[in-house]
Amino acid sequence: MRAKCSKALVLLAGAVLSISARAATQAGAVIQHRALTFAVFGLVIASTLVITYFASRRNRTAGDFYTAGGNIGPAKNGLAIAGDYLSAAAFLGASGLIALYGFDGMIYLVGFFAAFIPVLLLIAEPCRNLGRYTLGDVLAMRNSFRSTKAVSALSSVVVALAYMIPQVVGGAVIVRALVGIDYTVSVLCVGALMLIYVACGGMRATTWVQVIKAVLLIGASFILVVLAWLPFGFHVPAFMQAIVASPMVQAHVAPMVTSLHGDALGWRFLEPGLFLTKPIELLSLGLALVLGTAAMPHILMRFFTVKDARAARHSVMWAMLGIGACHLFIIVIGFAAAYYVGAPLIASLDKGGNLAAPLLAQALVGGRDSVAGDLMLAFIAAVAFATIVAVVAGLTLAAASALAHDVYVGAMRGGNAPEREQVIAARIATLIVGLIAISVSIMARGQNVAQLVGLGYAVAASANLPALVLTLYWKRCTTQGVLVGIVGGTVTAVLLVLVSPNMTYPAMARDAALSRVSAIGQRLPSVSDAALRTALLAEQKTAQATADAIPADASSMVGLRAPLVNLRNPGIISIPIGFLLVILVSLFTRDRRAEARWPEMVVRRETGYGIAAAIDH
Amino acid sequence: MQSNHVDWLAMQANEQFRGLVRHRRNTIVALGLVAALYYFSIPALIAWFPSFFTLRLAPGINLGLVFAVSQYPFGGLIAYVFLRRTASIDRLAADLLQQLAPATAAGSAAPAVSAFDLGEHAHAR
Repeated sequence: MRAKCSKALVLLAGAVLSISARAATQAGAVIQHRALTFAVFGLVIASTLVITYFASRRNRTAGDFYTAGGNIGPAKNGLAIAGDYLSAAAFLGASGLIALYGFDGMIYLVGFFAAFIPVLLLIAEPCRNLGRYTLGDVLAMRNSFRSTKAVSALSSVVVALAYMIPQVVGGAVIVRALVGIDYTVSVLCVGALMLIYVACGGMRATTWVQVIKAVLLIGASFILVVLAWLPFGFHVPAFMQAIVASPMVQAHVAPMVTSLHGDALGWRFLEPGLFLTKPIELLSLGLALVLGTAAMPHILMRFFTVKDARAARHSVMWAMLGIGACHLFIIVIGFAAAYYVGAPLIASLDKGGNLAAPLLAQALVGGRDSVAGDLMLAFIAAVAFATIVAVVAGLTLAAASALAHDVYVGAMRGGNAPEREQVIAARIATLIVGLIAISVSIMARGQNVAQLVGLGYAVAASANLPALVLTLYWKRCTTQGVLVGIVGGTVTAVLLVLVSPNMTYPAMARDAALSRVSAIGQRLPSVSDAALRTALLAEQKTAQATADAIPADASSMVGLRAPLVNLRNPGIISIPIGFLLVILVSLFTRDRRAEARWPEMVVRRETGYGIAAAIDH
Repeated sequence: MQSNHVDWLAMQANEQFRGLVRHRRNTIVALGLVAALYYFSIPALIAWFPSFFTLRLAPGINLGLVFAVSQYPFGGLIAYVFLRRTASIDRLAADLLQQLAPATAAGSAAPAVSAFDLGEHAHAR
């Protein structure tokens, strides 16, 4: 098996690099020096593949595959958590949001860090004391074994796929924009690499890939911060004052706040309200982030890789250190991109601002078309690519462990399967998850899948967290409550997203286009300037064409003409529903097994009693 | 469904164990409340006192920026306090286990062997 894995690894790695190089033919990519770009990409990928090769030689048992034998040190595990958690959304997305909307982008980022407090206080230690490989293991400690395993696996897979697909799609779009690799080839490359890492190297290789990625990302971000602050002599107020006084920043804010002028526009960039205009939306997003992270299967899984609860706690501390440092660097990168690159250029290449950090790297070292600028951009692009692959590998491992360990070994085999069969099941599950993610990502070409990230967090916070917290800390919690809570929380979060403004509403787009046609029609008689009249007529024609292209009875995916709920982030509704479902159903049902195991669970949860056996895989 | 070797109920009823649970619970509740208040004060202040964020402190720096950035050292402080408090809880737990384990798991090299392990989870250990 190991020989086969190594051979597959070499063949796939060669295929990935050669296909990528041949596919980079599209004109118009931001990077001009392609050979240089592929050399940097090749170096990063090759270093991770070498580690995977060595890691694959040590995967003998299911414990090796899922948790690297449970003996990873806290610092390494903390960095791996940071590598698992610092997604493309944080590095590329948040720096872009800050470059385009200033303060509101910062607020978005802060939630991802605050989320680790509940992880530290409520989850890390009990999970290490009670669990083995998955969320299902912790829940099945008290609750009915087969049903809990099956249902918790369902929500874990939903969360992992919902979070994974936007990473793959977003990553492919960005790599295409930066280095010109075709979208499908880019998805296939990400997919092939994640399969190599996880199927061959299991948790050991995934951990190393995540550690390397975290070090690269934090290091690259630090270099960008140094370069951005160098001209200001590392004097932070001078840098911030330059942003306030920047004509580019002021011109970008002016259309959003028409009543202000001059430096007041620059100051407005540093105040809330340009992006997150509704506090209730911000609260809902904050709740989903803060509570969802604590129940993300790929984060929970990392606590089973350390030897005891103390190491789990220290892992979180290291993770917070890495994530916090990287976030602070990203904040500076976002503001620096607004100052050095400018929002118009960033938005013209990607309206979400995802290319702000790579463009800043290019601008700080020589600019466009220079070898140094392209080298820096290639390095940042390679780091972004490693970021995506590392996060996706962690999610694939979490989803595969839910399918193989919880569904196959747990629910179907009643927990009785030989070690070798468990490892084979884990590898097959990895292939299944990888193929699903690759297929859906290829089909999702051109689709807006960003809302799936929010859905992933909402499901984790509404389904997994209530079940986990109440199983751990509430004596009256029953299996029935947990099952209804997980299914109900998942369904509620999915339904709320399906009827939210995140979906496409053709009828609304048609009405908006017709309103524009009508508004221009009313304005035209009073316009005497010929050029403006021509422009308005052209705009009216385009709006009419848009309206004509949409049937009058067109509706959203679920048959709606307009959103039923005016919230993009459903957390504020779905999380209380998730908790209420577990509590109400538990109060009206009786579970003698859960009651009988409560004392054992409390003692183990608090003391780590028996953990020596738990890590003796 | 209780273990063949371990009297979980007796361990749970032990006064020292109850003190340990209380100590940890108080730590978690206190730190959790403080952390939640500090983080969720961002949307609350934006909703009710937006002018709080616009107060200018230095060239290019307002109170909003300082408050948002302060979430990072504040989160670190919460984590540090928690680690310090749980270090003493760990010592209590270790003492407790030394007292209880020989009595409750006499003759058992692996005290974790319980109903949990002997039933459907037999494979899992």
